[in-house]
Amino acid sequence: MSSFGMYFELGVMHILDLEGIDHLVFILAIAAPYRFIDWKKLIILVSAFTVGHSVTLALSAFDIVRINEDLVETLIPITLLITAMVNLGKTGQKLNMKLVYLLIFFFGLIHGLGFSNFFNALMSESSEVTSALFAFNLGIEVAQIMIVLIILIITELFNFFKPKSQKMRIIFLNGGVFFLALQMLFEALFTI
Amino acid sequence: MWKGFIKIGVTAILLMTVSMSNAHTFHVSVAQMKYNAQNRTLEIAIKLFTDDLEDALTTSFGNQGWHLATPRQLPAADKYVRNYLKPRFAIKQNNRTLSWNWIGAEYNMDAVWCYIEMYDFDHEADLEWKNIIFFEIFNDQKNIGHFDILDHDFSAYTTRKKRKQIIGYNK
Repeated sequence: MSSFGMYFELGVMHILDLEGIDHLVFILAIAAPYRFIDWKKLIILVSAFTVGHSVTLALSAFDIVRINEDLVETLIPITLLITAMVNLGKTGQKLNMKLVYLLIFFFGLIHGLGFSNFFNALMSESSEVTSALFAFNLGIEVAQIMIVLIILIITELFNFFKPKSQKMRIIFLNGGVFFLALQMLFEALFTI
Repeated sequence: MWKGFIKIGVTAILLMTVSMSNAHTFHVSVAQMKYNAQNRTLEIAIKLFTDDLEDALTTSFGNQGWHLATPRQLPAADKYVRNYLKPRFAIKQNNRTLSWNWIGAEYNMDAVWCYIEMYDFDHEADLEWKNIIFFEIFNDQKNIGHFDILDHDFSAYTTRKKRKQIIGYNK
């Protein structure tokens, strides 16, 4: 395999790997309230997340910022908790989208630091950081888009069979995210 | 009420986190392998996280008081590191395991660089790379390998599910 291929695969696997599902669950939380007709909102949301995590991943890869790893691994479940609470608190109501975009961008910054913890471990002195970073980030984006599409398909299937249970679906999904995040947070805090 | 609760919670968590130790969360090693055409050897440098290596040494040999990368480092540490790596890192070509020579290691607080040399490398034959370092202590260990053989560059990684990689030139 070329090293580009390997870093790309590692990027994809970093999101899809069931050993660490925090990023996957976050994407689930972002996409949970929306349907295909909301695609514009979803594109902005996913882009906000992408811009956020790309910025901090790059800054950290080039050693411009350095943040305590444990702090980041603790903050990530907190971003999940807050996203789930925002979705739950406003179930069925209109969200203030500008605020949500900003929040997801900010949370993207935190997840990018999480990605960089893994990415930096892959690097050694003779590594070509720029091309590795590009391939790894591209892998993350591809995995992210795959997850959003799968969630949208599940959502539409749900709507097809249970068109009147929108609220129930959002509560069910975000409740799941909430409790997973709580478990991750406890793990991050107590398994050092 | 919610806001106050969240503020207190987040502050408490931040304080707890900052006071905690600095253990890294990902388990990765990186090996660079370069073919030396003049000596027909493969020159290998393996980067291992120091704390992971100490854990692995203790699991294999009991706690000998390693203190790697400190002035109190166990004088025989090198030998243990070599004996730890020997059965876990190998290259096979034409159904033959390449013979292996330990050069030494460089101990830093965060990472240890281990240097190995393998003889009679055939730059035209496919190779089977085995790297099972730390698999006995971490489920999520990934061992990255970069090969630089004349004009060919390859990368691969091993995991507990895929402990060996075949690297061929015609693929």
